[in-house]
Amino acid sequence: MREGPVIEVKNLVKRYGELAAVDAVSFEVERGEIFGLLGPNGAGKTTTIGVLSCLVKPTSGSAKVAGIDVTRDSLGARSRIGVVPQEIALYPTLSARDNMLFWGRMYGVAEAELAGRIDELLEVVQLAGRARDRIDTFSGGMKRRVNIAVGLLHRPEVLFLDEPTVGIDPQTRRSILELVKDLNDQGLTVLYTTHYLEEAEFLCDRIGIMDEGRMLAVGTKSELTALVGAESVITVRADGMDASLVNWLEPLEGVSDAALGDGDLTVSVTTGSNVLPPLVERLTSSGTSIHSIDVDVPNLEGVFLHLTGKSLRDEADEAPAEDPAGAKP
Amino acid sequence: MRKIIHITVLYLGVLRSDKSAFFWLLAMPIVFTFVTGFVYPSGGGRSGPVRYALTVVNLDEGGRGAELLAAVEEADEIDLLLLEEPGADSTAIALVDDGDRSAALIIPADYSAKIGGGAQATIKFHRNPERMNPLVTREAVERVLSRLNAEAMVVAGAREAYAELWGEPTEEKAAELTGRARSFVADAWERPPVTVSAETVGRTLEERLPPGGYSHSSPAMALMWVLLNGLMASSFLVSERREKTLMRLFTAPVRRSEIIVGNLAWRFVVGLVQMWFLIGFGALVFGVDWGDSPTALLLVTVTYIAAVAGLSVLIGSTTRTSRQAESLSLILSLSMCALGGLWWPLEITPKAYQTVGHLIPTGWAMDAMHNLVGRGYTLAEVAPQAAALAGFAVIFTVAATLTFRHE
Repeated sequence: MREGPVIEVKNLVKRYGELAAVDAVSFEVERGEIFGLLGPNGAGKTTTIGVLSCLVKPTSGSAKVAGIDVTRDSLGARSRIGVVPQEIALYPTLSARDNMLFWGRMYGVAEAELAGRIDELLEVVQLAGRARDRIDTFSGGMKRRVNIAVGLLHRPEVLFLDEPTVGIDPQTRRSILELVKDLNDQGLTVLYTTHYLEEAEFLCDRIGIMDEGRMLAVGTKSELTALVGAESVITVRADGMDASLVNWLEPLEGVSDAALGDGDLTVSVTTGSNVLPPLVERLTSSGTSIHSIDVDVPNLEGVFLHLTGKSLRDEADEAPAEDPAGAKP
Repeated sequence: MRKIIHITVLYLGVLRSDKSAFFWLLAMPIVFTFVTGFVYPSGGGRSGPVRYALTVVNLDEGGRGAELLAAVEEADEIDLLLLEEPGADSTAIALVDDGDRSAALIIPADYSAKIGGGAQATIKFHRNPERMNPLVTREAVERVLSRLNAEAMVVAGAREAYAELWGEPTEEKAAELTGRARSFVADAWERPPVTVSAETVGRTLEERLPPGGYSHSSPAMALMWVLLNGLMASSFLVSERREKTLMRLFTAPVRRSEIIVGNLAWRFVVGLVQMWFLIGFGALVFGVDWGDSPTALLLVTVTYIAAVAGLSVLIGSTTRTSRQAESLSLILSLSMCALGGLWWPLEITPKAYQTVGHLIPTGWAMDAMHNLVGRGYTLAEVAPQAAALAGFAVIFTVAATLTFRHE
């Protein structure tokens, strides 16, 4: 297997007339990681995945999958990727097995290997007992799992999951996230688009934050939060705290602010600093009775707010369902 | 190629899972063929010899009148309608004069007596001048009379010659002479000493008339239902785009051309199976003679179905919703059936109508079917229609290829 990044995107631009659905986007995805594209609807995530899946022709820039330029060798690139669209892209009147047989053949899986591969994947998605049942008799969650299994039939080097949990119940969402985690644990590289912060935080090794076609930042969660200088806030609720505690805290490395209120101590610290253990030790050694300690760690919501000046949750609620100019593949 | 086959087989599998498909593909066309074939009048063509009715009244008191009628009835083109009630001769003449019958043959009461006595007997042929049928029936009657007259003359001549040579024949000898003379005339009638070799330039009027009954309805309904079902299948492509299965196919290592050909191929296979099922059913159940050239029939059906498949994919590629695709398909199908002569033969329509009918595939397909079914044309003779259909297939397929999209 080839060394180096599985996905390389450089200065990718996709324009629809005057509108730039993707504007000079660059990022790389390393082998074995889950890379998340996070942003509201219309941010350009689906168009980016469309270019990588060879569905959308870029206006300029380059995109490579497994070292193959998607515009120069579309068939070669497509044989290396597995695509799981947001919709249940299956034939509802056919059985799960017949669907997988067809898609396996389309992906060029050898006939001798195909039946075994289908059995294996149906086991993975826990649907071996329903192999011969028609898709239209399945629950929403079961359909989603078959939808993912189809994308894995040809052992792709990277799996594209385009908002696979949109519009589904929490239980199904959890099972899908766990499935993706399990697949990643087995070595599969995943490119995952979502506008749900929790999913990105839970799943992704690295995250690219997109808005209005631009890639605003790329990194691990801690890198992103550090990038914008975000701080964690420790709130201690205890009896018998006094001003000497504040004086003791202020010189400590990583502490930017400490304030004592009515039975509450609020300490602002740089994310990743190691202030909490000595603080707890000092409080217990001085005989202070601690009622509670809350640590408010900065999250991606804060990062998105910092980068765009708007809340991702509000954007997700208000944005249209499609990418600009119908860019959704 | 393998992927095209897999795509074709997949869509056929999806179609098979739809139970109502068999109703629309096979049952409904048969019902429509039966109903329309029943109501279409018989026309020209090769759907069996045409027979003409002749009203007859036999007043003869001997047996020679019945012999004459038996001989006339043997003619291929005559059906006798015998009137026997009292005053039948007046009734027959009134029926002809009123236009209810085209002609009547009346054998007088003394017909046998006059022939037996060597006198000249006269029979009456009464015809309505407005009708054409009497020309045929009179010709048939005269043909029979010629033979009977020849027979009578040979019998009389033989008896006269015998009498001159050996005296009046005994009753037994006379019967023998009559039998031998009749046998001689029958042989001579089969192998006349002089014959006319007639050649017709082009097709006869009868051959040029459009076929009627099931010879029209069977091919017409086969063409109609292949078209209707084929075009309605356009909505399947719209569903594929909506369900994103087509998009997924475009993300798989499959060439665009393979996807398009697969979409054309399954429509083509379904159309071909449906068409040849209906052709077989027409032949076996409705007795339709599909002509002398299975190759020509295959060529016409293949080019027609290719045109339908191309148009189906074109509609599916250019409409946004299933409802749009179905509505457009229905409008196009019904218009093309009416304009192309599937509901009534183009031959009976005005020139301008026929011109419009030949701007669409159905007009050419129906022409070809009439030529094969009604007229027994050869492969070379239906090549122009097949070429026109192939032209439509190419135009529709190129347009479908240019507009084919996954979103």
